Amino acid sequence: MKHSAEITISRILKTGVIISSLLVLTGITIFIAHHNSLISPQGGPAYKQYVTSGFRFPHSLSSISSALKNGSGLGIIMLGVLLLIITPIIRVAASILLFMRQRNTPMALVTLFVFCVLVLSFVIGAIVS
Amino acid sequence: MSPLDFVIILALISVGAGLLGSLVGLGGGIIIVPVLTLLFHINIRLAIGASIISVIATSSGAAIAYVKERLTNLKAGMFLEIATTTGAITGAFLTTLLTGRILYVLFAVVLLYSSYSMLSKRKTMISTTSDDKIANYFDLHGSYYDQNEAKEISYKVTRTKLGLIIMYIAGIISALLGVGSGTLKVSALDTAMRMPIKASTATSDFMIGVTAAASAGAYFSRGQIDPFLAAPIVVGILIGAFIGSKMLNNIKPAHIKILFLIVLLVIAAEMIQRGLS
Repeated sequence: MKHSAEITISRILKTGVIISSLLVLTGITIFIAHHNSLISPQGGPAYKQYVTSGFRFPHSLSSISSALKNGSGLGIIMLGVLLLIITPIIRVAASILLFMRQRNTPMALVTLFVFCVLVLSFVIGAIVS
Repeated sequence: MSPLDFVIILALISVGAGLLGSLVGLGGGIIIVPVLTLLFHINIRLAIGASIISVIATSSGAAIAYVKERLTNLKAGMFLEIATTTGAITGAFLTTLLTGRILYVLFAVVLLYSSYSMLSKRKTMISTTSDDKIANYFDLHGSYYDQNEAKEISYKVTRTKLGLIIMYIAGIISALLGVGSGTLKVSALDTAMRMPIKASTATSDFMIGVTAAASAGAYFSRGQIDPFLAAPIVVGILIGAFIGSKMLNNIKPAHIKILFLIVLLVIAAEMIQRGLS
């Protein structure tokens, strides 16, 4: 029983990490391929413009989904990053169910609290900016 | 430097950071922020956002193996995440009130603390009894199979309250600076709560991902995680950590530790200078 819980959690982490790193890799490849000028050192844009606070990229669910519809590389990277952040959260959600199945109500409540804090963090970030 | 060159160089540095980090037992996050700020002159807040993502990647990667080997104390880890995640949210709030300069100085302090604890020998006294009410109520005690000693090791957890306080601080620091604050987590687990070293290392790694997810969530929706930085760092650091985990059995980390220590001290000096100038 206890053992199967550990294997489930391990599997969730593995799947999340693999899929998100593949998305991120695909995204950055597409982004560079779509911007031929990024490759040439002469006349192309300097890297600085992509790494300053002024650089605009999608970071809300709606802007990421519209970026994905346009096949934007940045959208795919952000989807991968989002999945990477969500992976530990899915793990926490799975643990709530596992503790409930073990009839361990105190630990299920503890885990539920952690889950709520994690979900809340996205909301807080959107409000306090 | 063209953007493509930048991506490739950053990815290669991240491979090195992931490799070094996994060999000496510190996360790669502690290297990523100095590389981005000191080497590439990137805004420290963007650097912190990118670094916290690398922390999740390495923690989840390392936790996969540990959890399978049953070294992780899942219950104690989950319970203490109450403190690390609320600490992380506090930190994500706090960072909006602090100036970049203070973040530099704070980063230097954490670097010095990490160097100090890398040098000091870790030892724990495992207890077989516990009069800690919280630990007993939630049954946070644990056991694992030690392969070197070829036997099952059972332990009781104590001083959960002290553990919670240190974990809350660890959460704040993790969010403020984009690091895993594994050093602090480990000291809460083995020094304060008397967990065996192998179990505390694994449990700390397991917790780092969830702690980082709490601040990463806030930074993500705030737009502080730049995809152009995150992509090469995530991929690079995962490759580096993977190579490191394969090398770990064949290498004596003593020499690497000294090298890493010098690097940390130089970085700390640079960061202090940046913060005070």
